[in-house]
Formats: sequence, structure tokens, C-alpha cells
Amino acid sequence: MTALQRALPGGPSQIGAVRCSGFLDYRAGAGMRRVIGVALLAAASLLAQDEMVELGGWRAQEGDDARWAAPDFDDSGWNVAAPLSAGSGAFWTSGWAPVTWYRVTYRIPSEWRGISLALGIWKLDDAYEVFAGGVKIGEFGTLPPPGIQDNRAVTAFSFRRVAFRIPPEACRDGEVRIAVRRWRLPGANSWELYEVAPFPNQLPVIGLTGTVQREREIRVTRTYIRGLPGMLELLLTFACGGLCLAMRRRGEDTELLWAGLALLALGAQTALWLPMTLGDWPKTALLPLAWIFLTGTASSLFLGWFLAEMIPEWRRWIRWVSIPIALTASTAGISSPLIIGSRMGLLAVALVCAWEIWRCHRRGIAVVLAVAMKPWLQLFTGTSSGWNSLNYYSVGPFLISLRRTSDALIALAIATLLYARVRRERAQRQEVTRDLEAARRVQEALLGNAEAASSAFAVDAVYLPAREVGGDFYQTLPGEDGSLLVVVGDVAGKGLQAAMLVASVIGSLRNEFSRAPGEVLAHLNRSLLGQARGGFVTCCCARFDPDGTVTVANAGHLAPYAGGCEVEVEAGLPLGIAAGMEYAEVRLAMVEPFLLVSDGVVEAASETGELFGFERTRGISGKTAGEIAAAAQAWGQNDDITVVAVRRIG
Amino acid sequence: MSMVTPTKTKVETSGDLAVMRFEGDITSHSEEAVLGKYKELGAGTAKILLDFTKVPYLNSSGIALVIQLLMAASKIPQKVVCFGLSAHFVKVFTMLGLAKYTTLHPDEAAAKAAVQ
Repeated sequence: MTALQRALPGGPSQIGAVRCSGFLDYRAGAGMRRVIGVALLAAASLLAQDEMVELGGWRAQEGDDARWAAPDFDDSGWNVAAPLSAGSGAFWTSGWAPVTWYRVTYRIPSEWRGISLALGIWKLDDAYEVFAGGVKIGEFGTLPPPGIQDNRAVTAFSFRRVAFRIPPEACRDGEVRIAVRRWRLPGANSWELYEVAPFPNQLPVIGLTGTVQREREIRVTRTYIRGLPGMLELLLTFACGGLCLAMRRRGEDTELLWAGLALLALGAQTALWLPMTLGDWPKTALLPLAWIFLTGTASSLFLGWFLAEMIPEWRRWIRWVSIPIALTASTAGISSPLIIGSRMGLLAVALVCAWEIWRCHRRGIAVVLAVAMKPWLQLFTGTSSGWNSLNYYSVGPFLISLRRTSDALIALAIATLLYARVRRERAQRQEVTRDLEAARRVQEALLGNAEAASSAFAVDAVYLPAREVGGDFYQTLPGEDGSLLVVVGDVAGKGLQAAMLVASVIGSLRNEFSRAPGEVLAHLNRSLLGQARGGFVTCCCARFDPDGTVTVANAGHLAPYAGGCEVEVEAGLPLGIAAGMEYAEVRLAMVEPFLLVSDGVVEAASETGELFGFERTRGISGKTAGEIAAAAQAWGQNDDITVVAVRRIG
Repeated sequence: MSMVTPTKTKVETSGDLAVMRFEGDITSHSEEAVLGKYKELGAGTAKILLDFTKVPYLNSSGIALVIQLLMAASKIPQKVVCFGLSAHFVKVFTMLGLAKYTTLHPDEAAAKAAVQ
């Protein structure tokens, strides 16, 4: 049984949710089998040109009256439905009436009489009914009865090619009178011509049923082939959007987030074309309108916010301006000063942003061109029906949409720019990380001289910087007399700047000749004046002598602990603040363990903000340096931690 | 510390007395809240009260800002007293040897009495 035989005699049928009755073999065939078959059918159709003709000479009338289907109705007063432009089969009406009737009378050639005939309608939005000889022979979608305006009752917003069988009884006196009652989404004038204008031979055809059926299959397959560039452009847009999101680090790279979302929304908007062209979706007008509005608004808004991120100094106003522009620019297809104004606004913003991006990111010239091109294309290809024809061009067997191509180019340009930028920034970050790691090793080498203790004292030191490098420091400087000078300090601040000051302090300490803690601090203070740049350095210096005494001076640092008690030392101003400072010394008997810590221990803070504090520090001051540092770190490290414990040997 | 709260500063003036009420952590990001607000004080300000009642935490960079304020005030000279510091930071301020530049008081009444 052939497809044609299966379809005959053409009773009503349901395909998906779009009701199509009276047509022939509406179902899509199996992909590859269909393509091969259509190639053969195309060859056959060349041999059958005289079995099918274009059906011209239509007359059109806006309004709705059931009597207009009657074969004897006099339509001589109706307008001639002229094609919009040469080669176009689109029927031009004002675009605002929901229902339009078309009528035509076809004189059947004598050689066709008695043979099964069919009518092929290749493109007619949105839903319609077809009458032959006053009898309804089929419909595409559903529409309300004449006289009832109920837009909710209409289904069919796709662009399927349909063939309708003409029953023999509809042909009288060697002619057939055909009437088409068409409903269209009110005001959707640009939709009417969607994908129509560049197609030649879009007029309905009439001919032998088998020939019309073959022609329909050829045209359906041709639609698939023509849509290939659009498919590739769509995939490219989605891929670029996905790439932008994949490159983004969590909580950072906001421009990648907005760019990725903009491109995905752009792709989603374009993707509506797929089911409308190749399938039965959507079933109601609300869905595509809502889809276009939401995805259009989202893409314009996110594109604007992406541009805002690229131009930080204008970020705030670009973000705000993007909102009204996005809301109005997305209502494609409705001609009004508001829409044109919003698109001109979008154009102005895009041009300004393009200039700024070019100025700041010279390599982003592709983005500049793409961004500048987008609103122009939107303006001239989507504002009215007449201009919509500028959107589509046939290149060989393919259909090129300027809008889809521009979307893909924008996606490609943005993704390329951002990819290059991300790669560059990540390389720079890696370089900085390597530099910091090198700085950390240098600092470790500078600080790690705990082994250089004297033969009389053992030093147990732990240093835990909060970042790669720290602002804490300690030094142990053994003297020829068997004494040991221990210096522990803290540069206000953290990170590289503090670490650089630490290096300076250590350099000064290593060149220090005095063994008197007060003098050491005074000398350090002098060397740091002007270097601290508004900050300061706290420092505690202790000299351990072989006779069992320890001499301490303090410049704003935490007091040391001896035998679990805090040592009372006169507080002096931190280093680097005021000139001419003198630091008092206190001499006491060495009590083990003698502990010096930085504020990273006492100011370790828990999740609730509770500080580790002086009491806890004093309580564990008898433990090893490692245990004390670990306790503070576990409490919640938020600053460099330094613990130095000194014990006598023997 | 899980999260640093931004610093706000409210300045109240009465005659030659100004009270700078800090709120939030004082850190390296508090320069405008500490030094910026100090610089906005009128030339006739002779006594300054620093209110730390609503300051849960000062890190070393924040303390550096307070010290810079104290240094600047000592050059004019202006008398500066602090109140409302937690016991922890009273100890920290004491260890910093700031007695020459400021005095520490438990509350506003004691601080006001100290500058009269």
C-alpha cells in the first residue's frame, strides 16, 4: 500500500495536537529513507511538470462569513491577492484582521478530468480551512466557527506543507471553486512572511494527487536541507554560551556569567524556529509570544550586563539602561515608535559599548563588529513585514538568515574574546602564584634559622602564614658569649606588602651589632621610619644569657609567657610610628618554657567570632610551639601565627 | 573570623567635643570610616571621644588606622580618649603603649569626665 493509498479517501485525522484533516500523508517519514526517497521523487517530479500547476488569481477579502465558501458566491468585488514582491507567493493583507478569505476558480484541463486531484498549500499562517465546491475538504489546525472571535480556540502555529485531496464531487462543469478561510494572529504581520519571501513558487498548487503529494515531500525535505546552516548556527550559539559558563569560576568572572546566559537565551529564542519549521509545535499563540518575549528580554538584558562588566567605569548606568531597552526590544514584530525607539537606544548603547570595548580591549574587534551589527539587523529585519524580507537569502540549497547568522557571529566573537581573556588572565594568575610560591620559599629561608640557636638554648618555632607569605617574623641570633637573641614581630597587614617589610626588618636585624634588646628595637624603629607607610611593626626582643637570665624589651607586641605566666614588660610604641623612641628593658630569671607569640594566636577567631584570647593562650603556654599553633589554627586562623618557645639545654 | 562587617562611623559634635561612634569591624578597609571621618571634623574640635562599643574586632591594620588618628591628633594637639573597648582590646591597646596618646575608659560617661 502506498502512502497515497493509505491517506485516501482523506478522512479527518489527528497528528500530534495540531489538527490536520483531509490532507495526504502528513506524517514525517524516517529520516534517511525520506531523503533518499525524495531525491528519486524530485527526479520524478521533473517528468511530471504537466501534472501540477501553480494556482494563481486568488481574490481576498478580510472578514468572516460562512457563505463565502459557496461555489456560486460572487467574489468579483474582492481584492486581487497580489504577491508582495516578485517571486514571492505571500498574500498581502493589512495584517490586522484575524480572518481573511481567499477564493479562486480553476478550470480543470480535459486530460485531468476523472482523475483524483489534490491541492497543495505550502505556506499559510496560522490556521485555515479549505473548501472545494462549497464542501470543506480539510483544515490545518483549528479555528473558531465564522462569526466567533476566540483566539484561544486557534491552534497551529507551525509552517507545515499540506496537500488536500479534492473529492470528485467538488468538480463541476469542468472547474473547481476553491475557498480558503484563514485565521491569523492579529497584528502578527511580520510572522506572516516568516521564511516566505525568498521562496519562489510558494503559490498553492493543484494537480494530480500523486504528483502534488510528491511535491509536498520534496518541499518538506528541502526545508530540512535549507535549515542546515540555521541548525549549525544554533549549535554554535549554544556551544559558545556553554563555553562561557564552563570557563567561569564559582563566584567570579561575572562577565562570563552574563555572556553565557545571554548566548543561551539568544540560542533559545532562535531555537523556536526549529519546531515551528520542522514540527507541530507550538500549539497556541501564547507560547511562542511568551517564548520570544522571555528569551528576547533575557538575551538583550544579559548582553547589556555583559557589556557593563566589560566597561567597569560605566557599569552602573549600562546595567540600568539595559533593563528598559531589553523589555521593549524583545517585542519583535510590532511596529511602533516605542519599538523603533528602543532599538535605536540599543543601537546607541551597542555603539558606545563597542567603542569602549575596542578602546580597552583592542583584540576584541570581532565583538565590536558583532555588537554593532546586532541592533542594526534587529532594526531593519524585524520591525515590519516589509523589512522582514531583508532577513533571508538563499545561498545554493541553503537558507541564510541574517539574524541567525548575526546571533552566531556575536556568540563566536564574544566567546573568542572571553576565551582569549580568560587564558591570558589565568596565565597571569599562574605567574603570580609561582611568584608568591617563590616569595614563600625565600621567606622560609629568611625565617628558618631556629637551628641557629646557641649551645645553651633550644628553640622550638612554628610559623603559619595566613596567605602564601606572611607579615610575622622571628629571628634567633646566637652571640659569641653564648647568649641567644630572639626577636618575634608582626607587620600590620598581610600578604606581599607585609612580607616585603618583613624582609627589610630581617635585613636590619642581621646587620644589628647590639645585643641589648632595647637598643635593637630602637635601631629597628629608626630603620623602619618612613617604610611602614602608615602601618607599624610590633616586636618583642629577648636576650637569653648563659647565666640563666633573660632581658626583654617590647615595642607594642604581645607580652611573652614564662612558666605559664605573662611577663610584665613596659609597653613601648610599635616600630615605624614615631622617631626617637626608647624601649625599656626588664631583666628576669629564665623560667621555662619562655614563649613568644604573635597576635595570630590570641586573635584566632571561631565561626561565631569568639577570639582565642589571652586566657586560653596563657593556659596552653606550657605546651610545645607546634601544639600551641595547632590549637590556634583549629580555633580559626585569620592572621599569621608565630610561636617561638625557648628552653635551656642541659 | 568568618566574615568581616563593614565599618560605619557616626560623628556627633557638641562645641569643641566630637564623638566618633564606630560600628563594625575595623580593618584595612576602614580608612574612610576612621581617618576620613576624622579629617572631616571641624577645626574647632579640641576633644575627641572614640566609641568602640559596637566594634567587635580590630585587626592590626585597623589598629594602625587608630594609631594614625592618635598621631595626627597629638600634633594639633587634640585630646583623644577611647571607650567601649572589649577587655581583649583594652589589653591590646595597653600593650601597644598608647598611654601617651590616649586613655581608655569603660563607658562614655567616664570618657567625657576624662576630657572635661
